[in-house]
Amino acid sequence: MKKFLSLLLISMMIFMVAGCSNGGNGGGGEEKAETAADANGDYHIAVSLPFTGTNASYAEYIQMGLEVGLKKLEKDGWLNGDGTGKIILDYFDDKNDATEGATIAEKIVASSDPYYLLEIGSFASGVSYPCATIYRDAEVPQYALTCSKSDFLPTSGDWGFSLSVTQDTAAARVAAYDIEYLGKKNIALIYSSDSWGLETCKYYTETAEKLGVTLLASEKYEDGQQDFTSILTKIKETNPELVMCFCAENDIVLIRQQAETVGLECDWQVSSKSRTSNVLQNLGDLGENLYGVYARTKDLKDPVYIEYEELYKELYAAKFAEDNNTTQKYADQGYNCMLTTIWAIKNGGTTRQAFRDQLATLKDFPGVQGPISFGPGRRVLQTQYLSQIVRNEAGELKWVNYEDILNTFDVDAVAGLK
Amino acid sequence: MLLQILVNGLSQGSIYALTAIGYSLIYSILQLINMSNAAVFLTSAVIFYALYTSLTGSSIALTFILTLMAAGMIGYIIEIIAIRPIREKGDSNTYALISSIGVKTILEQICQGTFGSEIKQFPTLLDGKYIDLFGARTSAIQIIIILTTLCILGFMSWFTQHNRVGRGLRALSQNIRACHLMGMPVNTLIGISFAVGSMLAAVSGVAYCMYLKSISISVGSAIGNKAFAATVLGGIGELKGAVVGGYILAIAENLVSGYWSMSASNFISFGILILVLIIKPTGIFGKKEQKKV
Repeated sequence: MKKFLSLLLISMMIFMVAGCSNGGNGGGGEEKAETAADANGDYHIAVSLPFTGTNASYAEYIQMGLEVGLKKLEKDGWLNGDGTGKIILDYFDDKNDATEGATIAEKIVASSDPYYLLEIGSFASGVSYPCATIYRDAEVPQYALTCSKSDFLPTSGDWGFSLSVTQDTAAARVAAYDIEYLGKKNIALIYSSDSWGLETCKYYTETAEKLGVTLLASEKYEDGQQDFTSILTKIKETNPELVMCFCAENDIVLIRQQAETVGLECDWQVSSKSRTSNVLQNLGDLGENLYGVYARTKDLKDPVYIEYEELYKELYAAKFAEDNNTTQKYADQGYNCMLTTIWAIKNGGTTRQAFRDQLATLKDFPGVQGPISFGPGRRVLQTQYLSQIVRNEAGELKWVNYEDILNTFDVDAVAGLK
Repeated sequence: MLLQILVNGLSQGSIYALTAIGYSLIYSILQLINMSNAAVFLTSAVIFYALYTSLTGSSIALTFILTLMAAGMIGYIIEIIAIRPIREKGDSNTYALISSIGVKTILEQICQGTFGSEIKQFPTLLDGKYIDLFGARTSAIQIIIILTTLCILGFMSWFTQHNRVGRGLRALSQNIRACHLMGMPVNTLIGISFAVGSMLAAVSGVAYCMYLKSISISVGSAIGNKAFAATVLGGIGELKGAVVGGYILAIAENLVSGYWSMSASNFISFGILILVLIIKPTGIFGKKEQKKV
């Protein structure tokens, strides 16, 4: 009898444990088959961004864009048009640290109150990528809007999305523009030692070599570095025509200013990450002729942009004025992310799986910089144009895209991407 | 190239040295590593920026004086709030160290909250003026930083040797208990040492941002660690050790970055530190403590 009771007890315990672990798949021991909305009909979204650390400025911009998107939704009467069906964003600070990001990811997928429909973030690929398997295994959509790591989406199963082109594509395009369009053959490279910097450097160097150019110097720096004079002195000795920088926007400001200190005179190119109004504003005259790459220029007459700008000014008037009456590039991306998220929910994406399936079908969605479509790998299909800081007739410095460049220069063919 | 690297190393070393003196000064009196010094470096630069852009307009001199006063007050307040209660209870310096780390975190968070995370232009002196020193392009601000450091070093030497308060600080570094018994205002003097350390961090923070022509919230983090390493390298508690340690560390870093790689410079500079600690644990100028039994 004792043996029977023991076996019965053990069996009950096994059933209980099995029951708990089964429910954990959906997060927080609670399967939400019909809707991810809470009792009030509101949807909760977790946002993981580096609010502290060297990439904090990017987090701030993305948050601004997301909040503008929410403002638009609020004006439209929330999801149901009658003031119900709110979206609530819960922000987490991953400090631009993979371990911190993974801890947050575990917390998000395990949470049942609130139950998160999806996760947005992080900023850096080095944080989004390690979290991809956590979200994938828990079957939570991960909208890593700025993740450009090439194997992020394959790793995330069917659960990851990105609004950025891959590092290999972006770096190859920049190399093609530099070498074949601008005709630069003596190039030096400066890059950050994070995952993004290391990979873009690798792909840029490979493409340059394919195009017959060996880089004069390739200098890596650590996160938090402030004084770049030693590597700039070294690069100056190689007498480059162009210095390509795969750096964060704060770093490019320091690098360009210190290049002046050591007397390094040449052309400068930054990646799309630093093609920002902040760089333009902080470099002043030193920024003139700086090259960058960028998606399509915002059409200021586009109703989507006009509405966005109005809401942006309503929420961030001081910032808008400070940035020479323009919206922040990463805020634009945050806004696009929010609009597409709203679209997916409104079109049936009310559970995690339905959201994932719906967002994957996004095609020609009217975003701030024109139509947004996801390719088969759930990554945005985007053209990148050569860009430059030029002085306009009023004497103001502005970022200007070479919008017609693709009519005469097939960058993807030159870069070996076709 | 070598001369250019040495000039860059000297100006960077001056920044390390100024911050390191602050660490050393407090350690010599309380045997406490005051980690909040790095945050005062950042906070002072933020205060300078805020005052310059809002209140004092274009007067760099007035802004600088106000910043120094503010930094001194911050240092004094840190001692009263975060260190003195622990010290007066007779608790271990480990608690005070943890308390100073707490102050550092709080100050950094306040700076980020008020200043934001973006890089911003910082006012500088004699912008665009360069001197050719035997082929090394040297900016006016680099020369100002090096000369200022030497002047401050001279002043600190005079202050600790000939000034009444400075002599009091030296007396404290020898025996606090005896100073108490002699009726010296020990608490006030310790507060002053924190104020002086913070003012040195302020000079260094403002000078560094003037050199960079920019300010961002990450500006103090790297310098704090380097200055602390310089302090240990030169001999913790020794003012001249802090200065020499600062210059050695900065020049070594610049040489390694210039001739090898920037990533290796941390490895080398901290490698030198470990080597010195193994061979001479008291640092270059440090003296072995004789304990009476």
